[in-house]
Amino acid sequence: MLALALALAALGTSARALPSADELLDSALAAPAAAYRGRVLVVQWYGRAPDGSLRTRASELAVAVKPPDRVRRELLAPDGSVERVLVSDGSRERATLCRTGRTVVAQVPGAGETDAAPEARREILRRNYELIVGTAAPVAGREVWRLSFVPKSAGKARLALWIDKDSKTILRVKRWLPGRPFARDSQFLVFEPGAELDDSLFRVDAATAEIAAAHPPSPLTMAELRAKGAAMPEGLPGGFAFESGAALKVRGSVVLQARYTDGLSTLSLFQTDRPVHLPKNASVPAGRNPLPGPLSASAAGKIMQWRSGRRHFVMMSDVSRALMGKIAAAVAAAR
Amino acid sequence: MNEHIEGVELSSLIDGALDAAARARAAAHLSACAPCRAELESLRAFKRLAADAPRRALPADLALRLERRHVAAPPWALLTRPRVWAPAGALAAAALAAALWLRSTQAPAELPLEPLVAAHEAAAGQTLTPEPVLVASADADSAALLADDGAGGSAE
Repeated sequence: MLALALALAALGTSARALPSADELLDSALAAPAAAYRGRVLVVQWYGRAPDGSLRTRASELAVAVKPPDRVRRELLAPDGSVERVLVSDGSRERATLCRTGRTVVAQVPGAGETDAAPEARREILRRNYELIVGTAAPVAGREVWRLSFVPKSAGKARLALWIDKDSKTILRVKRWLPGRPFARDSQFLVFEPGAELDDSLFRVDAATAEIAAAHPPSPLTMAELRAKGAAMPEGLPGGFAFESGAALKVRGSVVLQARYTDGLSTLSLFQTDRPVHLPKNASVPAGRNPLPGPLSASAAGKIMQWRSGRRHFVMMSDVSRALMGKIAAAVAAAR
Repeated sequence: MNEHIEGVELSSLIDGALDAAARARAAAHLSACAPCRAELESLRAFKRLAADAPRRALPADLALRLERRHVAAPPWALLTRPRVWAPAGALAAAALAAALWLRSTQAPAELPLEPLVAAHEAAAGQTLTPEPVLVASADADSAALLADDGAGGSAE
């Protein structure tokens, strides 16, 4: 009887039905139904060394999540000791450097905000990416669905999610630029759903914490940006559409920011009346795709600056340099 | 159809996307196959759950939000920045005072990059204080990252 049941179960897995991409995306973005904890390994590939070998970085984290929105992440040292702790209660987060004990409490940006046009974002996503659902090898010993985001235009990264079939938790996320040695892959090595987690693990307040002021400027429409002198288009190559704008005050100058989205990633375009300082040792020589200005690297992605008449533009994005060149040309043509 | 109903076909059956002939074949198989009936019910339950939940609003930087569900970008910049820079000696103090006065009387020719990076990352749903590794002055590898990007540009 047991053998028959096992045989039927084995046959059943081969006929496992697939949910739709929208259903998987909704479940992946939803707050978890139950608490869980685990160990996450993050690996990053960031180009090649002069001898042609791949450059890589890795880090390991201990993660604990308690619904609806409490998260604790511990960055671990090789010996398993805790280097840094980040705790969030959904509206505020506390970051602590364990070696010095220094602690900062900051507001989580976007906390409490609602999207005025959720279907518009989905439409942009569908316009720019093909979403493909499939099965994959288990992650952390768990059966998963795989949801892939394949860009419809060149020069953009692909993204894949591995989602636990039972808990609907994202167990693995990988983002990579096809054919290029740049990628980031984070996955659970150990996943424990239904863990008992004490509330004290997620306490944000700390007696000696420094409080970081966190009040971003109110978003502006394109019409409001243009009234302030912005010369930026509504749409950009690569399927990027204007999302919102902002006017920043930096050292007495007004810096106009236009934010664009392709449904999956954002691109920022800044317009200033003075150049922005890019450190010399961060600059990169022009490659096969000549750009109108110097290119630099940062944790925010690639940064390119160029001048057009009396205006200075700075672009921040993670798309290819070829696409950045096309976008800069589109901005020049829009004037 | 092989021994069992294919997953895609089962999904289509629930969604009402099969033609009459395919529906009849599926119904006939389901009447005799317990594993496929169980799978059908499991998928129906999942779809009911998804349908009952509110439609999720997608963040503008969906990719980063999905990645950062595991690994957040915390306000490490504030933590690793020194609280106080105290010059040593009277000469150093005088030099500092002169530099600060000069700075206050002349508008700098260039704007700092950090506030723009902070604004970009805030828009991407991150904390308002970006990571300390900003523009490769602290991370020589980042420049190498971009240098290599140009080598294979034609593949894109």
